[in-house]
Amino acid sequence: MTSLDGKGFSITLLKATPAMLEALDAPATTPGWSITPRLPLDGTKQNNKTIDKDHHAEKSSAGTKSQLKGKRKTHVLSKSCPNT
Amino acid sequence: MHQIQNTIVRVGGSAGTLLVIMNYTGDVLHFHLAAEKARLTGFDTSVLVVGDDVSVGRRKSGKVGRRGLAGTVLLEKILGALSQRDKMTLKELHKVGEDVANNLATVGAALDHVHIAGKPVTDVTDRTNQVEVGMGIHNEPGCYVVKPQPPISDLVDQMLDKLLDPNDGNRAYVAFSGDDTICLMVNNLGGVSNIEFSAVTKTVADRLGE
Repeated sequence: MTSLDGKGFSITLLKATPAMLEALDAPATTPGWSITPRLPLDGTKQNNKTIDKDHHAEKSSAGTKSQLKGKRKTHVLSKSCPNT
Repeated sequence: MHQIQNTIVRVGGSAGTLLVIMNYTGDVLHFHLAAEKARLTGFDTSVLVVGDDVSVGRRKSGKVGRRGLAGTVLLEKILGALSQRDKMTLKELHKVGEDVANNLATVGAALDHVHIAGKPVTDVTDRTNQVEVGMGIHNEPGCYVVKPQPPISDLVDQMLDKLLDPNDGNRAYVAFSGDDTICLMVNNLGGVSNIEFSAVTKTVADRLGE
């Protein structure tokens, strides 16, 4: 979520429920945030992240890659969204 | 306001339309007025105002409330997915939105004001070698300025404090505990280079983990 040429960044934390996480991982093809479930070549089902040229999605869902540090599980999203 | 009403007419569904907006006076006014007009012409419309900023604090923000920032995007994604997948009424969706909004906390930092492309710059303030924590997305003042510009890990630690410190009576908007599952989003406000932003993101993830 940009603001013109903002020379800065923001940090957002969401206290998430499993329902919220599932909704965040729902498939989407919007330009700023795409998540496409992909079937790997070996036929196993895997929900994967899609790297868009406009943002980095450092999280994926079932097969969730999350950072487990201490007691906290963190899903990490980093984005530079073209919409304000 | 016409733009809002026209949009409601064109894309609003039969179950109604939810307008998700960020908490800024002008937006709050215009979207509520447009929603009122839409309802009068038969379009069930509801407004959800999101305010996830933690920087300004309760004392200074008073009745105006918290500013809306990037956390709004997470909320929009969640509600979008739920409204597609589940049969929900407008009222139910609005309530879920409120729940998500109450669990959002965001803090920003910026090196300088934003500029409208093509418009001559009239601002003469020298902001070299400093960072303003909480600077608004329309250049509103934040909570403080750090001069000289601190190392990124120091800045991030200060920002995480604003988000997480349960003893900050002026903030502590969301009670995070060690057992919670947290979704972290680092957002580029538009002018940070990809390489720097990657470094910022890594720093945030590392510092949050500690």
